[in-house]
Amino acid sequence: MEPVLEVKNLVKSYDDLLVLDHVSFDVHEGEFLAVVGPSGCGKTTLLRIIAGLEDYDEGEVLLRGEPIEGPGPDRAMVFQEYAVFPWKTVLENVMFAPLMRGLDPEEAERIARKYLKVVPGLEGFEDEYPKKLSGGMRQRVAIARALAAEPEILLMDEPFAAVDAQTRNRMQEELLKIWKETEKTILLVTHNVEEAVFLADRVMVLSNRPAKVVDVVDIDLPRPRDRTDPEFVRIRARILETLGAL
Amino acid sequence: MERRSLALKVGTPVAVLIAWEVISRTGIISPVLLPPPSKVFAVFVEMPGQIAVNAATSLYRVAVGYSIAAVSGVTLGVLMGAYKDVETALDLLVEIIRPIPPIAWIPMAIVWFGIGDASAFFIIFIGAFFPILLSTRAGVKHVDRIYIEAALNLGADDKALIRHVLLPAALPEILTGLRTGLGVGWMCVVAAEMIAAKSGLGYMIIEAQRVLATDQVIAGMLTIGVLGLLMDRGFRALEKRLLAWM
Ligand SMILES: Nc1ncnc2c1ncn2[C@@H]1O[C@H](COP(=O)(O)OP(=O)(O)O)[C@@H](O)[C@H]1O
Ligand SMILES: [Mg+2]
Repeated sequence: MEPVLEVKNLVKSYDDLLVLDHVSFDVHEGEFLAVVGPSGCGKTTLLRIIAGLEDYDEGEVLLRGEPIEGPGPDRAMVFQEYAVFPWKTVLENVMFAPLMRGLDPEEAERIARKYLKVVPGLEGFEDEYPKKLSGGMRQRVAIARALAAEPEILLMDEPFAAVDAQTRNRMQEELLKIWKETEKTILLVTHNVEEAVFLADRVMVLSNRPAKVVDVVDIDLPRPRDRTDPEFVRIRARILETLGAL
Repeated sequence: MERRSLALKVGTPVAVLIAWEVISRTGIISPVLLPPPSKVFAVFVEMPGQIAVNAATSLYRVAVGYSIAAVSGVTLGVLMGAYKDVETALDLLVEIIRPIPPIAWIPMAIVWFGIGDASAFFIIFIGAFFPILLSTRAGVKHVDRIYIEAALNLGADDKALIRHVLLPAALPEILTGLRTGLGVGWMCVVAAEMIAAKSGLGYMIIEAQRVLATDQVIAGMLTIGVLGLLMDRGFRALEKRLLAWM
């Protein structure tokens, strides 16, 4: 079957700084692909290029076989920084993409409420402004907002990097539940190897800048995964070793 | 503490009033040069209709001139802040016209619009326009890129970007500009009415001065001060409501 997303020989530099060096990979229908790499290697740049927010020097980015043209809701993104609109309530934030699609407000609200139910913990907060919410809650809103765009692929840039460890673990479990329920294709970027192994079907390992693909690991463990399971620990160690040897 | 600050707040004006009454009554300064406050307040009792009509005239002129300035200042400010080309095209023009005091436009206003409402509208417009324009432009330029990118990512076009992101994100600065513009507009109406109109509070005090009715002059000045204060307070209350999300 044709992949949802194909990235072929992607090259990107900022002036003299080479950031992506011939990066190639596919993401398949319904797959959860995690990309790990050291901080500053070019993970955000890669996602921004796929999202159409950044241009690139060489290579191809194909969404269902078609070259991407600029940003669009078919590649909705959850940003690393809290990017929910502070001047909109939770509900208004989640209604944003449906409204942009040209739906009338009632229909947009219906869709928003549907995704507010899909993401745990948001019920009862529909009319709050983001300032009242914790970092974890804001990121839940960002996830609901991206889902409401009903994207072909959901892009996530270290979505849990800024929340505390306990909340992070809970949100990872929630994300798996969301993924199962919506059958979305997800491309998640992180520098946290455990997170990648816990979540993904496959983990792609990037080198230090300029980023090259140095390993792709299939994670065949059943879910829910046990972080202390010997096989889990072994896979995590292997990826850490690959990263450490760079 | 509460009581103490209230006593201080009210105490000073009361002390000034008493001292003023004494100085004027005892003839230390001639009551023609400085009418006692009791005489000034008597004006409000003797000719409330005249003050009210003139105040209403001034308020009406500000409402018209200021509304035009608000709509055009916010519109142009958004366009200048959002589109580099618009800014480049208008910047020099704005920088040349802006330092001309609104009062300096009065002679040309009389030539163009004659004595009356239209001249006053024009002077108020000139005074209020620039603070609104400049604050709006700055506010739009200060909008965090992350919100613009999130909106583009979720499918916003230019129009939606302005309506859902640039305007609300810049609203705090826009409101500051609108409030400053209102204050300047209120000063301008008085100046305009002293020279370019035959009614309004400005005209009323300049006419009273001609017949040395200094009590009426000061009563008019006080009316101007109190109305200016009320407008500013009203505006701040509105700001607080509109910015509840902050
Ligand atoms: N707009 C930019 N201009 C210049 N350099 C940039 C820009 N954005 C990112 N970089 C640089 O590119 C490299 C990769 O950045 P990034 O993709 O954010 O890494 P990561 O997300 O993996 O931490 C870093 O060295 C960063 O400083
Ligand atoms: Mg990053």
